[in-house]
Amino acid sequence: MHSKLIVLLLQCALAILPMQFAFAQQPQTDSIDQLKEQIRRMETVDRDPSTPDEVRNLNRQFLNARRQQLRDLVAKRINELRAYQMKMDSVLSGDEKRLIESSIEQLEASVRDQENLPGTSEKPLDRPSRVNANGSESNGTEARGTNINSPARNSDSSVAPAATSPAPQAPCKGGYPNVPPRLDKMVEAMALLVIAQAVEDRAASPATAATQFAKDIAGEFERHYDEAVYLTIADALFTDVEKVNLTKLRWQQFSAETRRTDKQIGASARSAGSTSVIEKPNFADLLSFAIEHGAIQKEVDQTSLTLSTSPYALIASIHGDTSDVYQQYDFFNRIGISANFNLANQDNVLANASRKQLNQWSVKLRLNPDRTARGRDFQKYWDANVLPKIERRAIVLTGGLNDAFNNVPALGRLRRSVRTSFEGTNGYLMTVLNSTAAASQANQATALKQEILCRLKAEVYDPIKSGTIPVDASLRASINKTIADFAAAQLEAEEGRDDVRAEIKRLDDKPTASISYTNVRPATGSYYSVFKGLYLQKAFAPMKIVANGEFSIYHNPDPVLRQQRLRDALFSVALEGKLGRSPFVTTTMDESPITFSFTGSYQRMLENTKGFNKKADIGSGQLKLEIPVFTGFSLPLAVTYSNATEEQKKRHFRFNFGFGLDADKLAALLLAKKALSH
Amino acid sequence: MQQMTKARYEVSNGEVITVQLIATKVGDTATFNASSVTVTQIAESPRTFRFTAQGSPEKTVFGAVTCDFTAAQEGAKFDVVVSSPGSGPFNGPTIEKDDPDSEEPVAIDFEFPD
Repeated sequence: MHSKLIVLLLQCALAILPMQFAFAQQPQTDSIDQLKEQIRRMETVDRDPSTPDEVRNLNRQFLNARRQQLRDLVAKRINELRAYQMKMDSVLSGDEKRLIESSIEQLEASVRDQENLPGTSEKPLDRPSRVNANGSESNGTEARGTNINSPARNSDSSVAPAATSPAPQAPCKGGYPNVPPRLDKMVEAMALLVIAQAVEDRAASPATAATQFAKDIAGEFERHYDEAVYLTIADALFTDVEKVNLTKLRWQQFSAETRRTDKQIGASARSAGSTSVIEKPNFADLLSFAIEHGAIQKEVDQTSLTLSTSPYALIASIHGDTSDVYQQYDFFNRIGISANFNLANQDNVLANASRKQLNQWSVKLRLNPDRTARGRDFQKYWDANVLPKIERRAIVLTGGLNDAFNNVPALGRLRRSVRTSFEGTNGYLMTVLNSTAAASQANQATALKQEILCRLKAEVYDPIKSGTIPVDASLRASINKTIADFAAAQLEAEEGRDDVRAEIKRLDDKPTASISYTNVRPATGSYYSVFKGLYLQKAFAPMKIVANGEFSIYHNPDPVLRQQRLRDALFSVALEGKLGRSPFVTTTMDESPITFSFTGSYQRMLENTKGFNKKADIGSGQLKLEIPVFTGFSLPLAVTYSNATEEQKKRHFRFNFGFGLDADKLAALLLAKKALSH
Repeated sequence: MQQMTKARYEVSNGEVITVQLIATKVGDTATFNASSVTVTQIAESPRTFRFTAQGSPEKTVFGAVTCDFTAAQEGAKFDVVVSSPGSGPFNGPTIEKDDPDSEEPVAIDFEFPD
């Protein structure tokens, strides 16, 4: 009984709705049937060969306007029905739901019928994308009230949409079955880019104007729109045999700073709290800090904080870290500075970074040129060997787009007109964004991807497939060749990336050398300076050898303590290897490996040669494991044996641990999170 | 030249267009190509290209920026800046390493209006 009543009410609503729409729209008195009748009569005039050109052009403008009104009216009614359907979903019976679906289908069919009328279907004018029969885009562009595509005609991008702006488009029904893999992924990427831009614009303060919002969205959408249309055309034209190459095309996505292990993040061996017997020749680019507990050459266990950076980081913070700034201030890239502080206040770690707590500071100068992917050596290699392989895809693609869209006017018009339908404040893109604004970003992207694919199928694939837009055999052959060439270019690009990885590895395997000065300021005892040479080079795979040679001098030697100007000399050597990617890092892009090292050192303490219960020749051996626990953070663990300390002749084993943060990698973490949110 | 969107510009026949690819946290590992015109690289860093737009109404010079982030650190990006004598510079697309299309050619169209 209730069901029958609801059906009756629904039927009444369906009967009344057109009247409501008719009043809401311009012209307000037009119903769907009235509009259809007007369109039919105008089409008769349009087809009449005796109609003068001026009258025909004017008639077409009116005809366009009527068609747009019809589409908008139908779209609005469908939206109303869908809204009702969703709201009453738990109440409606199966029959009632089918009745609504049937009503929606009838409405959609009525628009399709209009667009497929004989004598009009071959005219782009009749497509939702509104292109005039004479080839130019119709005034329908302006009728949409979207100045996004015509800022030349209205340069004020903040102007609100025109009052005649039609209602948003109804969601596209259907899909794109057997969509080529590259097109599928490309549209997914387009949807993600559009959603990311929408999120940014929505969060902007002050709020982004509607037209600017639509323009921003369109900017992201157009990054791959041309190619999306091109691939859709190819898919529609190709035979099954020709589609083999099309289905071979893949969407290429990208992962190496996180792989570096040649930077010294923690304290040097002389520092209280250091977990390292040996020091590496490279340093942090940005900023790093390490908190370590233990001691290598000291009697007492201390916890220390080490802050490291490069002067270039300061320059980059002022001028931006762009490639030209990097090249211009190349010298400052060679310098690393660090300071080590005693960690007295463990509640507020950075509060320890004071002069009072300063344990030591140092300056390091790298002797060899930059061997990173930003250095000149790598740039020369990339220009000569990688560039030709990487750019091949763009050459093939832009050539193909030129052949299809510039040399075949109908396809050029199709490309522009469909784009117009997608863009603007009431285009397909904005309609989906508005209707899914409350959904999660993932769901918004899914809905948008579905919409783009569905529209490409309906507005590009179908007319090409059906021959409504005729394409001659020579263009089909040209597109087929472009697709085959693009597949080959993709392989070349992959080769180029392999070349990059190989070159980075080759540069990484080259010796690295640096010299450093360290000013040591122990809490008790005399201050002294350490001069050090550091060297790293590849040994047998997968090991690297690190060597340090150093000597230190007292600033003011204390004769009472038998101190001479020359304090000590030290030599250490380490073998370091990688154990593969850390299983603890969570982001797939982070390639940070677990590293291990075996280190031996010999130190000659001159003041201990005559002292009681002291040893002048101190030897140490260390096994160290550094485990990245998540991006930017690593846990160094070390076991050290020494035959004495600087203070006492006492053999001992020591277990040291620490916690290191590499801000270069931390920046990676933050950006990886952003990427993951995609 | 008028900027329609970040990826599309309306140009005049004979207009000299400059496309600059500003690399941040990465080397100059990007390039620009375009159909039907001769593109000349006029500077290495930032990598800068120049071409003369030639075409008739409704035609398009299809351009594409291709970036290589293979050896780039996180946070790396390329900002495209487009200009011509008397107009611009306009901020074009920004291609970030984390973008879902960072390894693919990104389109920049130069269209001749109707």
